Amino acid sequence: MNKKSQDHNITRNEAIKKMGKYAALTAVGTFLILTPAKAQTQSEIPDPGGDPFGG
Amino acid sequence: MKVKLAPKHSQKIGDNVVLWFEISNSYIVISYFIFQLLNTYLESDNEKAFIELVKKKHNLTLKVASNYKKEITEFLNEVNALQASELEGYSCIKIPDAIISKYYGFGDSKVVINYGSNVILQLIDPYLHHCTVENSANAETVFDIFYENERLHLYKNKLLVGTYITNQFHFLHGKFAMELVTSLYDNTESDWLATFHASTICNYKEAIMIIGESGNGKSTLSAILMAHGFDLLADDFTPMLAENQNLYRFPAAISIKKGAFPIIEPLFENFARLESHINNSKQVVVKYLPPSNEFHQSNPHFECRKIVLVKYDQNSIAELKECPPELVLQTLIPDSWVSPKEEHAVKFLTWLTTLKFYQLTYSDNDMAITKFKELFED
Repeated sequence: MNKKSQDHNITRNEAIKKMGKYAALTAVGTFLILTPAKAQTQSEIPDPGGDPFGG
Repeated sequence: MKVKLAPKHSQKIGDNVVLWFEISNSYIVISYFIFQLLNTYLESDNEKAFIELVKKKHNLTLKVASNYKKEITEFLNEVNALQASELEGYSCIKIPDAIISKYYGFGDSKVVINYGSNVILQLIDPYLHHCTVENSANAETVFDIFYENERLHLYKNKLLVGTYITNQFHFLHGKFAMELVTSLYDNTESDWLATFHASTICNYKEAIMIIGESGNGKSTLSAILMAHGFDLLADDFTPMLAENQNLYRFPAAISIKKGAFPIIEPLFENFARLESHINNSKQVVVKYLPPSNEFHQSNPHFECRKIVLVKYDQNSIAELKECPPELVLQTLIPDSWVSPKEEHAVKFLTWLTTLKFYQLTYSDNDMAITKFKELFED
């Protein structure tokens, strides 16, 4: 599972894909919607799996 | 047509215009032609008038003009929609007794982190382990990080900062880093303009920010540059203060993946002796390389006027060239936190106008070092 697409704002590749809905505008020049993360993040630490934090 | 949908601020950057929409805190990079279309749309009395105007002005067919109308309408609705919060709601609970307490020193600043489990400790302590000090009775900041009621909890000085489900650990870690920064520099989160997902190196005069998609060797390159006398200001998490738009030192270690051990080991005397950490699920082996310069003995902040987008390509020869701003912005902005406050957005847009944007493609580390030396001398 790609956590980045689930938890963060959309990734750059997803953003590019999303631009498909603005095909007419993207065809005539630069058109990018860039939204910063909603909160501070650190690089993903791979999910330790399960509920590992209790013990 | 709909003035309230207009961007709050706009700034020319390179050949494009960057717009800022307050409601969604979005930055839109558009060509000058699209900017003109957008302005015409906003100034038109209605959609029909817009279609007629652009048809005439730009010699367009009805179909093309109608498509522009449809897409601009959708786009304005999208960037003016309130974004749902991604974070969990807050609920205070009793802070449990710490399983492990660790003390860290950053010059005059002492911090204690009470970890609720060894697993949580293993996710945070390796980044700060080099700052460990003996039990310190006078720690002015106390963090409690624990797992309770199926949530991770972050407290600072016994006040709740946030709660997170386990797969939001990167938000907890980011928030912890932000709160640590406010303790180190004795201010509050509202003083900070952004935290960039970037490594930042300095030559004791200026800072250069290194960005790149995961897997392009940002951290490895930062470590190599550090070994060659450059000052590592921050790895992975680079805070920018709003007041002066300087980048600030963050004392965390660089995480180096096993694949890079043969490159890094000959460069640092103690690297072989650093403890290896194994991630539970993906079996990724990493070591945490501390910055060469002590946090409290180094200049805490520098101006940044250059951003380098790095791309590792084993088939390429090293090439450093100026690149279009949008190439850098489309990696920098979605990967970073930028304060949603209007005054900060204005400062951010202004700062962007002062920057030079570069792309470094490299396959050979020595060549990358040469290119960075050239860039600092430029």
